[in-house]
Amino acid sequence: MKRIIANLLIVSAWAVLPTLLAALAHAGDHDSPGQTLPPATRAMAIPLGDVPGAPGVRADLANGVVNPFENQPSAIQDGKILYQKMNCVYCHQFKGTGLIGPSLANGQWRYGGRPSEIFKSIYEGRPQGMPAWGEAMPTDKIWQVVAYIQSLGGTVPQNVNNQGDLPAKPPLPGENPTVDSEQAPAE
Amino acid sequence: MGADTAAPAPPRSVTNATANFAPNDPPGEWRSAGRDYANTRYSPLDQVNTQNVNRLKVAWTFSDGIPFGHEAPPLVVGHMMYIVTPFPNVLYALDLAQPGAPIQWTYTPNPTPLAIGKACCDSVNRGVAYSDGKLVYNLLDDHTVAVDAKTGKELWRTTLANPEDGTTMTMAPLIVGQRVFVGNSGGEMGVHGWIAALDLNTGKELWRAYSTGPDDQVKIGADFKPFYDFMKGKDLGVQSWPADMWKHGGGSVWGWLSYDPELNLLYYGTSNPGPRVPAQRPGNNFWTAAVFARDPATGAAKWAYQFTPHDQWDYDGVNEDILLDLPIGGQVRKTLVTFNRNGFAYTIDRTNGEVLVAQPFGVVNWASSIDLKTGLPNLNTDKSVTPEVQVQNICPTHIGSKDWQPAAFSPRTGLLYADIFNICMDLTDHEVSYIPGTPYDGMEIKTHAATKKKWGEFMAWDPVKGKKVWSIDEEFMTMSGVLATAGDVVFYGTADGWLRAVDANNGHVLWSQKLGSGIISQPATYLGPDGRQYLAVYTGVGGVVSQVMGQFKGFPARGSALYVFSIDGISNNSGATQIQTKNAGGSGANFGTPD
Repeated sequence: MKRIIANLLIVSAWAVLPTLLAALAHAGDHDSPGQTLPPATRAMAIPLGDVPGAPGVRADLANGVVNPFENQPSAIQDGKILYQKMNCVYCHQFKGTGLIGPSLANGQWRYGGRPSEIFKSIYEGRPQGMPAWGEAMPTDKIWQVVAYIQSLGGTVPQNVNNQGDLPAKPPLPGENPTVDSEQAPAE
Repeated sequence: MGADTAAPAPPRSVTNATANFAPNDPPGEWRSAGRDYANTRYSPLDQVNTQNVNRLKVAWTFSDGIPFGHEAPPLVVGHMMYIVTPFPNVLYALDLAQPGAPIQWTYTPNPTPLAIGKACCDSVNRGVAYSDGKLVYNLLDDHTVAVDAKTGKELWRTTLANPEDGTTMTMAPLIVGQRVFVGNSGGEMGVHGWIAALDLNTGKELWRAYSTGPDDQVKIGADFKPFYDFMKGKDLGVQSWPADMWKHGGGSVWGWLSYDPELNLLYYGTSNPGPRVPAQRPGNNFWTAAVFARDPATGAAKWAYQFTPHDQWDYDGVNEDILLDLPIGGQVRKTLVTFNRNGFAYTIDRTNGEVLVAQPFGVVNWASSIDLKTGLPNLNTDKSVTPEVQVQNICPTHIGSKDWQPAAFSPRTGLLYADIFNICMDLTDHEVSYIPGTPYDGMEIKTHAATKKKWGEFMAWDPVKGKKVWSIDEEFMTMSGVLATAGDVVFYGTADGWLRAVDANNGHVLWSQKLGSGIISQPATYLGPDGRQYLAVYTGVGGVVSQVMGQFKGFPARGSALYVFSIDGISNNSGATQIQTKNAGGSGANFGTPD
C-alpha cells in the first residue's frame, strides 16, 4: 500500500512539473485582473543596487517599477508557495535566513535590496549561482515572490538611496534561537 | 635541535591494531591530507610529546583573507609548505627556510563564481595532494588542476563536470602511482554521483564509475561479489529506484579515498540519495550511502556495502575508511574502520565487505542495531519520514554523529580518535521537483543537542570491541580533523576556536589555545628546515558548522589564518635574530654593538 501511495506521489509530482513548466514558459508581460505590471523590459534599466547616478535613474522609473503586489496577503501567500515549489527555499531557507544562497531577510544585499532590484536579480540571475528565472517565470509570478520576500522584513524601501541610511537590523534568530537545549537525552 | 625530553615509552596497545603507512613519506613531511593511503593521519614525530606539549606557542601565522570555511590541511614537502584556500582555490607555496615563511609563488586558477551558488555547504576545499613534483587539487567549479611544485605553473587542467547542473568539487584527490582519483559533490543538487581516475602526467580521464544506474555505469561486472544477499542482483542501481530517478539520484563522492597497496583496492563512500524525500524514491536506492572497493586500474567494483539502504535522513556514506589490521577472535583481519553519518562505527573486512563490528558511537535512534548476518539495520519505524508530517527527535541529525571531519589512528595505543556530534533533528519533508541547477532537496530541519549544552565531543574508540574508551564533552560542535602523533599527543579543534592537545592514552587535555576563528580544518605536523617539529592548523569557521550553530551566542566570526606552533614558539621563521639595526653614525651613545 505504501508503495502504491509513494508511486502516486511520484506520478503526481512528475505530472505537475510539465504543466507547471508549460505555464511558466509563457513568459513576458501580461496583466492579471486588476493589476498593472511594470513591463519586464524595464528591468534592464534598473540599477543594480547603490550604483553612482542611480537615484536619478530610479526617480525616472519610480512610477514604473514598483511591486504591484506589495503588502497584499494573497499575493504574499502565492509568493510563498512559489518560493517553495521553485526550490528557492532550499538555497535561501525557510523564512529567507540563507544557506547555499545568501539571506533574504537580514537586510544585507549583494545586488540591491529594493523590490525592483530583487525583481531584477530573480529575472536576470546573478553571478555566484543564482539562476535566471525570467525565461521560465511570468513576471507576475516573480513579483509575487518579491512580495513574499518583502514580507520577511529585510528589503530596502524603493526611495532609499543609500542603504547605509537605514538603522541596523538586530540579528535574526536563525533556525536555533535557543543556546541551550532542554531536551532530555534521546531514547 | 632543541634539547627536548626523550620520547615517552610506548604505551600498551589496547587493541594491537596495526596499519600500513605506505607510501611511507619522509617522517617530517605531510604530502596528502590523510598522510598515507590508509588515512591514519598519524605522524611518527615525537619531539612534541605529553611532557612538553603545554609549551606550544605560536611561531608564525599566515592569512589568505578569504571568508569561506577553511577545511584543508597544509602540505609540507622538503622546506616548502603548500596551502590551498577555499574559493577561489588559490594555491600558495611558502618557503619555510626563510624568515617569516614568505610566499614563494601563488597560483590563481580563477574558477567561476557560479559554483559558489551550487555548493551546499560553503565554498570549501579539503586539500591538495602532492606526488612526483606535482600538486593536484580540485576547483569548486569542477576542474582538477595540476601545478608544478617548483614554479607554480599550471601543468594541466581537466574539466570533470558542469557546475550549472549543480555539480561542484570539494574533496581532496588521492594519488596512487600514476593515477589521480577524484569525485564530485552535489548530493543535495540532484547530481549523478561518480568517482573518476585521471592520468597524473596529462590529466586525461582514464575511467569514471557512477554511484547509481545500470551495472555498466557503476562498473559492476563479473568480479563484483557483495557479501550480503540484499546487494546481489542485476542493475540494482536502476531496479532500486522509480523509473529514471537514478539519473538524479545523488551518491556523490565528496569524501575521503583510501588505498590498500597489497590488495590493490581503492576504498571510498557515496553520498545520500536524492531527492532528500524518501517517499519520492521507494527502493533501496543503490548505490547511495555505501562503501565501494574498486580496482584502481579499471574502476571495476570488487565489493560494496550499503550502510543505510533507502536513506531517509541524509546519512551520506562518504566518511573516511581507515585501513587497519585488527586481531579479532584470534585472527588478524584486514579491515576498514569507518564512523558513519548514521551513528554506527563499522569494522568491515576490507577483502570482502563482511561487517565484523557495528556499534553506535553517538546517540542513535533511527535503528536499534545492525544485523551482522544480513548486513541490514534494524529500523525503528517511528523515525520513518512521510511528507508534511514532522518527525521529532531523530538521532542523529542529518549531518550525523560524525560528518566528513576525519579521525586519526595511533599504532601506539591501537585506538582511533574522532570529533563527533551530539545532535538530533525534528524533520519535515516536502515533495520536490527536479529543476536543474537548483537543490533536489525537500528537508526542513530543526536541530537540537541530544544533551543540554553539548553539541560536540572528542572521543577515543576501540575498533575491535566497538566501544568508546574515553571522551571529552564540548559545548560547541567539534568538526576538525584529528592528528595523532608518536609523542602520544592527539590534537583536535572546536567550532568556537579552541585547539586542544590531549594525552592519547588517558584523554587528559594537556593544552588548550584559543585561535582567531573556529577550527574546521585538519591539523598537520612536520619538521622544519631547522629540524624542529611544528604543528600547523588553519582557522576559519564556516561549512555546516556555521549553518547549524552560526546564530548561537559566542559563535566566532569568520577567519582565514594558518597558525604554526612550536615548543616555546621558537622557529627559524621568527624570533630575536631576524633583522639587524644599522648604526647610522649619530651621537647614539647607547647604540652599542649587537651581541
